[in-house]
Amino acid sequence: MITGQKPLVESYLLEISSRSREVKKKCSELLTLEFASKSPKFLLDTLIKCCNFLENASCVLYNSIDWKLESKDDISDTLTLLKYIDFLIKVFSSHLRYSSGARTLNLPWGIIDSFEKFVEVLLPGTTIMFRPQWKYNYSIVTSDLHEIYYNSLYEFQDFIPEISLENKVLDSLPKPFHIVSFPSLEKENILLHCLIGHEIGHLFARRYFSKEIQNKFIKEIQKEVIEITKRKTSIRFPGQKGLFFDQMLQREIQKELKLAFRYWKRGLEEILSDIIGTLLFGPAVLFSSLEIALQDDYDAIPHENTGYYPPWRMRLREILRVIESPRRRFFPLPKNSSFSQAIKITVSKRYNLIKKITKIESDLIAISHDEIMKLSYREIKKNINEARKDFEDKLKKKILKPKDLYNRLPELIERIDIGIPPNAYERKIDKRKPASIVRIINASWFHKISWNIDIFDKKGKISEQAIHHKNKMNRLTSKAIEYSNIEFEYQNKLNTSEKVKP
Amino acid sequence: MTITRLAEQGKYLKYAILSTKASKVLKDLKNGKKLNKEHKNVLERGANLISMIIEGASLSEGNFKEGLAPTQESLSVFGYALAALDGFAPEPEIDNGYTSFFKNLYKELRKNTSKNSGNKEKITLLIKFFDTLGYFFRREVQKERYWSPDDSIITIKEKSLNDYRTEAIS
Repeated sequence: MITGQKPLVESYLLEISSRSREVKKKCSELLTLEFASKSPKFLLDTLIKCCNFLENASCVLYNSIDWKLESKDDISDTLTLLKYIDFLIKVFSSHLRYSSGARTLNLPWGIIDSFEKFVEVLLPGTTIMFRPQWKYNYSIVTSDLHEIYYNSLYEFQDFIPEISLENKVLDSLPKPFHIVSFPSLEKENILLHCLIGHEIGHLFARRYFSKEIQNKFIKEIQKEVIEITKRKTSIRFPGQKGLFFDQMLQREIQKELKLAFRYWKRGLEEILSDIIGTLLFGPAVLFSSLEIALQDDYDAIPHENTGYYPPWRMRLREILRVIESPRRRFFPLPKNSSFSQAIKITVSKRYNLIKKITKIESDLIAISHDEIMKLSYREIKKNINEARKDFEDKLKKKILKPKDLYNRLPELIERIDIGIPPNAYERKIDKRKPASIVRIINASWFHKISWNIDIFDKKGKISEQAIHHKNKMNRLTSKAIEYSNIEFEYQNKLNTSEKVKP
Repeated sequence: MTITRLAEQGKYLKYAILSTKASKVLKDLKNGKKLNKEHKNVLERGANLISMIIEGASLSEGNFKEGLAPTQESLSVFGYALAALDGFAPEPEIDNGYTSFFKNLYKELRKNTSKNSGNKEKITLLIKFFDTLGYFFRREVQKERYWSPDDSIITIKEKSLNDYRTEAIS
């Protein structure tokens, strides 16, 4: 045993304990603040219990060391395990920011409850926590946070078997629990938040990737990937043979298979999520996706630096396929609808523009230049058709239909036009019905595309009036979602015969 | 470490901890200690980890069979196992391919678990394997702590400051 090691380990243990207590203290402070939903508090409560658990485990580990008998190696293993505990406490401390960011003042709080209920209807028993992120992106942690924490703490259960992870540590955290992040810059941009539909789509898309589906993919491409890798490696190292070459080849094959899998899984995940978002939110997803795609390169091919996202042009193409599905054609707008002429013209123009963008196949050409990528995307094409049928089957009544959307959409658009939140249909006071979040957001999109506002002022600068109009439209949409949600809640609590679902 | 990253890397953290625990138990076994139920469970889980490596190796060596269900995780874990073997000095002999090598390792571990004893040389090999495997999992998990910007960012900074020397961003 190295002399002096015991006091050092004791000192380290004290530091670990101090860090754990600091995390718990910060959690307790945050619990006193205001949140738009209960989800952030569930997370804070859980972080406190996780830190308690780890602190206990660290003491048990330390007390298990027999300082008289242990060799240097054995101290080293126990020290390594203490370092893992320390590491996890630091990780949990970094997760404080999720709840901290989810405070009411940081969120478009008026719409949070509506979206949570929307998810609950789609995926009963699923808990969502919304929070802003500095990064300009919408994202979702598709893994269940409950499961993530369970797996992180699992190996320490051996040291304190009397404390059940499920019943005493993670009991405050619902299962499943997912965090949805939106760009904080777009907090007030309610129209973009229909992209949360895409994030929710990830929770469905994830279920598609069963072991059978993954197996099938590997089976389809394995031989071709091995052939391609052998050919490429032979070109790089001509005439090489022997054990060293064989081992190197194995590593290359392992890398290329992993890469093919990555291209396939990430590409398909994103496209399937787009499809589901579109099935739920309709044209709003088409228009909001274009707005995001415009900020990027339409033909950026999947790459490690871009998270292996598929090209935007391809994504728009697949979203359009859903919109143009023979059973649910959203465009052209019905001739007998009561949309204004301006809306019919401008919205059709926007739709036709997207069609032109997606007709160009430069993204497919770019993908075809990489043999491995080409293989993966060939399989993605097959999977999309099969998966879409599966989702349509599962979502059924929740899928938005043109007839249902367009039936009274003009009424909602008219309300925005005259500066009233589009929260309800109320041609007559006794025949009033709150509008759903999907219809409200679509109404706002139709209004936005068709508005007749000059973007530039007489001096050629961005018009303050245009900015003001955009902000007003977002506020009206946010208020509409909030009001309609309150009305749905109220009507349901009254327990009247006219109970309505959002 | 963000929640997204923990979701992706959490399994490697779990494997890193498991590798350390397996190594510790095997050292106890080598020193003549008797294995209790918890120790055997640890070795059992260690064996399951090696079986995942075997799946990845099989796939890589073109031995994919119907019913075998390799996943991206098997492939990844196999990658770490390869890195671990690289860390051996001297390198072990891989005469009949990696699948065969890891299958033998698996058999040895199972033997040790059930018999409460084993060949000291083989146990030493297993200890070495789990030690280095744990190291590589640990390194993966700690990666972001040691992130530093690319040289290209420093180059841009130099140019924008008219070639004045810039201090390294740390």
